[in-house]
Amino acid sequence: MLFPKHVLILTILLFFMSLTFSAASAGEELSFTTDRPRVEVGVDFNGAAVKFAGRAPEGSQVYVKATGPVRPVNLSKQGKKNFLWLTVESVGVEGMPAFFKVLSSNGFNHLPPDVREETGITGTYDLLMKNARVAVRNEEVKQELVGRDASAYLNALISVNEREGLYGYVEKGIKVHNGEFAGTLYLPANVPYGCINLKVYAVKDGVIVARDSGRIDIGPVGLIRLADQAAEKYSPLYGAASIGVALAAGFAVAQLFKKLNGLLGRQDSFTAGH
Amino acid sequence: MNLYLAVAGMPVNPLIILGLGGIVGMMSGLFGVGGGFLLTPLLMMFGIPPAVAAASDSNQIVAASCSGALAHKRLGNVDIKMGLIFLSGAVAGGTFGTQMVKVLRLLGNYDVTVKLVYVVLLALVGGFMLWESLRASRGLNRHPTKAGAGIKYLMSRLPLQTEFRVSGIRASIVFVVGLGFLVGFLAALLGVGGGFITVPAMIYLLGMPTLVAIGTDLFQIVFTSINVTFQQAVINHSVDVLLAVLLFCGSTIGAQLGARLCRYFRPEQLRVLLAVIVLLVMVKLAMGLVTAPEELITLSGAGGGH
Repeated sequence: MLFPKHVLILTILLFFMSLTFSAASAGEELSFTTDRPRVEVGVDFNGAAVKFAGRAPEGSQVYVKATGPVRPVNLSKQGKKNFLWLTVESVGVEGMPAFFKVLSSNGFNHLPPDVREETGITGTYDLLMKNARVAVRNEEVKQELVGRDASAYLNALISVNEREGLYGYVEKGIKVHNGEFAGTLYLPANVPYGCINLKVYAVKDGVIVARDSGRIDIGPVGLIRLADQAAEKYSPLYGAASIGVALAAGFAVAQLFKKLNGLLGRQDSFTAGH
Repeated sequence: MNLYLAVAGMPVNPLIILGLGGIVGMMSGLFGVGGGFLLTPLLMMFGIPPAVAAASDSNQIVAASCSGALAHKRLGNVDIKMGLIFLSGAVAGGTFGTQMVKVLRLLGNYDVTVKLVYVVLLALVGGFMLWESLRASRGLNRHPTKAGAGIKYLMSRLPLQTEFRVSGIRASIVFVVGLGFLVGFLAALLGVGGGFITVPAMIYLLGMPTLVAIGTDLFQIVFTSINVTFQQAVINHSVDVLLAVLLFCGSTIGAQLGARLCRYFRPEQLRVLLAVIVLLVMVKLAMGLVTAPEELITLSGAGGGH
């Protein structure tokens, strides 16, 4: 079978070109792994440090954004009424993630506006606040707050979350060396249960050159899982069990001190008060 | 090492919780009344959410009162008839109080209401105890006060009068049920057993002997705290059984140490000391109500981070 010469040359050229392109795209690839895809909350849980590492294109800076589950939160505002500091307004906040942390190998100011908008990494919490809704709770008609009224609550919530280690921007929290990067994401003890989504971006010369994603699942295990589920889903049974444990403990202590008093030859005395 | 509390949603140092239970238990053993009314604010000071602190305190009161009531029953200090009638009012008051907790939490005024009621009660109980114990130390308590005599007269005019043989008194069932309702309501609202109100009321208003008042109070508190714990678990999901167990372990040991320390004080000296402690707690809580908070906007609602 005859094979035209120019077709053969074109095929060989295409083969080498594809090799070249695949090599180039391999250079732009981003790989990312964590040392623990699942964080278990047990009786000894006191927070966790999740280590991550990977390869990023040569010369790029790495940004990792961790966003936790979105949960409604209630806030109260104190005000002075008749010499007493009382709750003057209660609101519900929806649309704010319960966990939000960004780590980077470089400063956040280096990101151009379009990259900031695309990634949601702005160095502030403005985008989170934009997507949140604040409504007064103790009104029969749900009244949504906007502008400065809403911002006051959202800023307070962000301050609380920052203080508790649930929110934060960590500049230089990622080390990059020879195309390899590594960092640690700290989860405080009160981290919410659920999935934390991880978005990883490699940025070079103001352009996103590669991206990847991952997740960390956080959930209770053992006794904590049992107690948490029982308290929420089987509350009558949990309540009865709590009472049973307390009655058994009270009875056991009464018997113990009765025996101890008997051994010491003393008259029975009453034990714990109330 | 810290221990994670499933319902509170936060880790605590178990030694601190045992210590808190121990301190309060020692006060119980030392002074004969109270403990729970100090424990809830102490737990709040250590970061436990108010609703979890109150509900778990109720749960530990089940254990503590059960232990104490069994000891008193063996000594013949429990008036079961009085206890059961008192209980009927206390169960109704406890159920009503738990519903009120739910409403107050929705309104966002739970914390401040708890503090306000605490301040008033602590001021009344502390003030009365200080006045009464100082009078006792001067030998001036032989005759009933005008207010006490007035209440006794009112009680004798109410319907459904009956004999309470163990207590050796005659009283109106209506009055006893009303007193029970008030105590049950406060127990649910504040997460306390109510002993610091019931025992003085039984002694000064009903005229019961001190030891029978303490024993009967413990007997009925077993049931009221069971009711409050169950209601809190079902309606508010705020009972943390691990926290309650830690508290109880501490309070029983503390109560035994306190009971042994008792021998080194005269009764009126003990009452003066307790009155001073109660009044100090009252002043601290009152200061919190009249001074500006560090932050005007705070998280509200029970439970921890989950």
